[in-house]
Amino acid sequence: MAGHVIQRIYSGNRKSGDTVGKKEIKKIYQKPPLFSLKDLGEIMTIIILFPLACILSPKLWKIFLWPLAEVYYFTARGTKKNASDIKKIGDIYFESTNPEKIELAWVNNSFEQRALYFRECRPGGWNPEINVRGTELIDKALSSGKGVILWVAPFFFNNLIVKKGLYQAGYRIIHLSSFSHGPSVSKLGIRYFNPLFIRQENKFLEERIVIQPASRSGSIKTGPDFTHIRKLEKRLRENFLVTIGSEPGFGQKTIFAPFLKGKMPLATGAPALSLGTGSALIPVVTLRKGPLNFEVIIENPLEIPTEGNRHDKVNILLNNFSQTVETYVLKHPESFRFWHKIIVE
Amino acid sequence: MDARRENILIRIKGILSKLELLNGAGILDEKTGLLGKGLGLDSVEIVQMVSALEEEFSLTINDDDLLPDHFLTLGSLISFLEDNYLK
Repeated sequence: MAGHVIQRIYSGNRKSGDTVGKKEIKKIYQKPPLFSLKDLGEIMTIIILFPLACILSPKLWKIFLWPLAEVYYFTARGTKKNASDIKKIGDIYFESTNPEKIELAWVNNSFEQRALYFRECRPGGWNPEINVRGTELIDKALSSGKGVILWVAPFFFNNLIVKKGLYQAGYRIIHLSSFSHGPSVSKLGIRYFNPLFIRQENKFLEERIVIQPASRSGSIKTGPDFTHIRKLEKRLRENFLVTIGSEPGFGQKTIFAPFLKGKMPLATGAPALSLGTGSALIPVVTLRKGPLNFEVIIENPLEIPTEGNRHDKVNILLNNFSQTVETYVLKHPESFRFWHKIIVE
Repeated sequence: MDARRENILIRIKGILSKLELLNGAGILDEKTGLLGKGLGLDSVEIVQMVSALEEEFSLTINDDDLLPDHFLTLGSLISFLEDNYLK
């Protein structure tokens, strides 16, 4: 396995639409460490959380898991970091909602998201109610024969619930994934911890197309090979449904899109792929309605701009996607996963 | 540069222009980078360029040949095509 972790470093004070690439992005290709301190946390999480998640009903997680999450919040993360995160949420978010409440919800959701994967490991998995709204939009887009790209918004529970929900709704999904997908980025973690999570998702996928690490082919300075995109294009031509995540800041080339009072760095891959293949580009949002109740919302396809050059069109699509995400974050701030990746103006 | 390479270079430039991948670059020659410094193309743009190359030169590039080393510069791309597909 092994490989290289691609990291992105960017500075603030950028205008929306600025490209974070070329000179401005400093790509660091470095071998993942064999083991990291974070992995100790993963081991503890598995030892403590795994049995609780499997044995306790999700209706009881609020009573038993949230206190664990709050112990972590107040101790392991440190009060200085907490204060900085809370201030950042307060700087970004429009509404007057208590940012501490949002931060606490973030911590609770992080724990529950992990617990969902562990519960899925049970024989027979688990059966939450997942209401997928808007499937007629997928069907209409598929009727064009050019495939559909579902651009999954960066909310909690999206990774597992979107795949499970669409699978249960009868769709065959191709998912684009990083080789290091999962909670760990160390060599041992990628090999032993991450498969625990990946296997649960794979149950609902037709195929997972993996972005291979740089070391597999090509020189260290240039990044991964291109077969994953080639495969993705082929699947879209075969009229498949493809899901692509939108974790802010993760991607070969990213552009800042306005988001609340800040900016969100979004990868250009999904819109560029849509422009090149003619596939519909559809935002998908995941919301949790209750302990055993989720909603997957299929939004209207993003309108492909007809004017402007390629860069302009990608920019417009990214901005429209960011606006869609913003609409949901304003109503459900506890659902947003990546406050720490937002650049504050 | 020999005439054959010059011709390939001109055709590749045409493809890059048509796909709007020139990103405001000035003079393009064999030393112009495609990845990172230079045009700064990402994976999606490279693959779209490859599809256009296949159409332009009536060839099919194997997936196994989609290695970053072949796309470092315009020169490396021309050499790759000449050595493997345009004999």
